[in-house]
Parts: sequence; C-alpha cells; structure tokens
Amino acid sequence: MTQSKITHNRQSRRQVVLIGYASVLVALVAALLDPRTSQPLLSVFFNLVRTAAVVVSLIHLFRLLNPKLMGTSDGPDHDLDERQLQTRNQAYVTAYRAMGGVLILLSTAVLLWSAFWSLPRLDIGVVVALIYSAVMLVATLPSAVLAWIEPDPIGE
Amino acid sequence: MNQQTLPTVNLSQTLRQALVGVQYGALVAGCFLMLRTPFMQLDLSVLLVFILGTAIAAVIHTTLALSIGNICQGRLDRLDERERATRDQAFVLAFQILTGVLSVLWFYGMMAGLLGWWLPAASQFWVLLWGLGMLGYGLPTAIAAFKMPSGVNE
Repeated sequence: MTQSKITHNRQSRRQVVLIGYASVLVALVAALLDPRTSQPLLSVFFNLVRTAAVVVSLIHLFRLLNPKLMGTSDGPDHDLDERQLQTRNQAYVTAYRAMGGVLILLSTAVLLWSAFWSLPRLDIGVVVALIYSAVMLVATLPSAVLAWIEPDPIGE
Repeated sequence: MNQQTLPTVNLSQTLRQALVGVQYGALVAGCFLMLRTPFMQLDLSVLLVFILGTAIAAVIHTTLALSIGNICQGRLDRLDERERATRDQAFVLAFQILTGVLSVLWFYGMMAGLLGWWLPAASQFWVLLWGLGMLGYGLPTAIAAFKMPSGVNE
C-alpha cells in the first residue's frame, strides 16, 4: 500500500520525469565534453559518467512508460475510460506541439548558423548521443506530460 | 461544422488523400534535392525549386485544413465530440509516426557510422531538421484529412 502511494503521487511522478530527462542531458553533455584520445584518463571518466547516466535514464524513462507503476491515464484505448482517454489524448496533443516547435526552432537555428559559420563535423560518439537523446525524449514525451499534469486521485 | 468564420473548401476524401500524397511527395523530393547539394554551393535554380516545393506544400496544407474545418489547429471549444475525437486520434497517430521516423533515422545513423554508408555533411544537417519540422507541422491535419469521409463541410 505504501509503495503504491509513493508511485501514484504527482510529486513522485514529476521526480521520475526530472531525473529521467536530467540523466539524458548528462549523458549528452558527457559525450560532448569527452576529450577522447587526447586525454585518455579523462576520457575514461567521461565514458563512465555517460554510461551511468544512460542506465539511470533507461530505468526512469522505461518506468515512465509503465502506466501501472506511474498511476497515470495511459495505455491502450480499451484499458481506459472516457475521461482517461481524453486526458491521455490531450497529453499527446501537448507533446506533439512541443516537439514540433522544438524541431522548427532547431532547424532554423542550424540553418542560420550554417549560413555564417561552418558547422563542426561531429564525432560518431556525439552523433549517437544526440540521436539517443532525441529518441528517448520523443518516445516518452506524452507519458512525461501526462505524469506531470495528471492530478492525484481523490482520496490519496 | 462549427467554425463559420473560416472559408470552407469542399473536397472529397479521394481528392484529399491525393493532395496528402502530393504534399509529402513534394517535401521528400525537396529534401532529397537539398541533401545532394552542400549549402554554400547552392545553385539559384535548386533554391527556387526548394522554395517552390515548400510553398506548394504550404498551400496544400492550408487547403486540407480548411476542407476539414481546421479541427487540428482551431479552438477546442468550437469542436463537437466527433470532431474532437477525430482530432485527438490524428495527433496520437501523428506522434507515433514521427517517433517511428526518428527511430528509423537513428538506426540508419548508427549503421551508417559503423558500415560507412552515406551520411549528410554537417552543412546539410539543417535539411533533415527542416524536413522533420515540416513533416511534423502538418501531419495531424494530413492524417485527419486522409481519414475523414467526404461531405464533412456540408
């Protein structure tokens, strides 16, 4: 009973979202700052940080995708009542608009940058980190929105 | 339809589906053309084709939106229950499609890095972002226009 109260609390859900996304950001920054062959020992440190951040992000973001653990109105249509369905779909609308806005802003920024300066050629490790961040964020965004906004059930 | 302030366009479902095909065909063709040309070596004719393609996609998007009563961009309180359900389903499916496209690009990027397949130059990366942004912007409207039956604006 105590365990289920903890996971269903909105504050706890928001913590899961924050830790999951913060660890994705840490993994990305570690990949960007990694000096690679020029300083091997420091590179090992950054690799360890990046690995730990990826593990933490996977744990939290996969937990975010489990509506039973998170206590949110998420899941297949047949498992939800009308109110839950509407709440879930509204989260998708919000997530979609947020993602669309970010994509358009990013593309405009990259376009303007490349008009005046040359874009750096990215190391494959950084490219993988960027793509991992994008996929994890996109895949979990609706669930994160839902976990963030859905109020606590009445009586809990 | 509730939104009387907007002009209406009556299009059959078949015509709307064809327009969606043309819209995304133009987008893919435009991105492909731009990916073949590094940014600082752009020929004026290539740039004009790209701008024309984007303009065509924008006109088609607007036409499709008006043909379904602008349910994906309009105010929620002006939609009836059926329209709202259609809109919500369109956004859910659009999000799943966009996630799928990003996952495919991720997988291709990983394989390309390992096996030496073609990857865009740094100066062309904006084309991918632009294409994804354009795909994402009009996708819910395109899905709703594709699925809604004929006669919705009558």
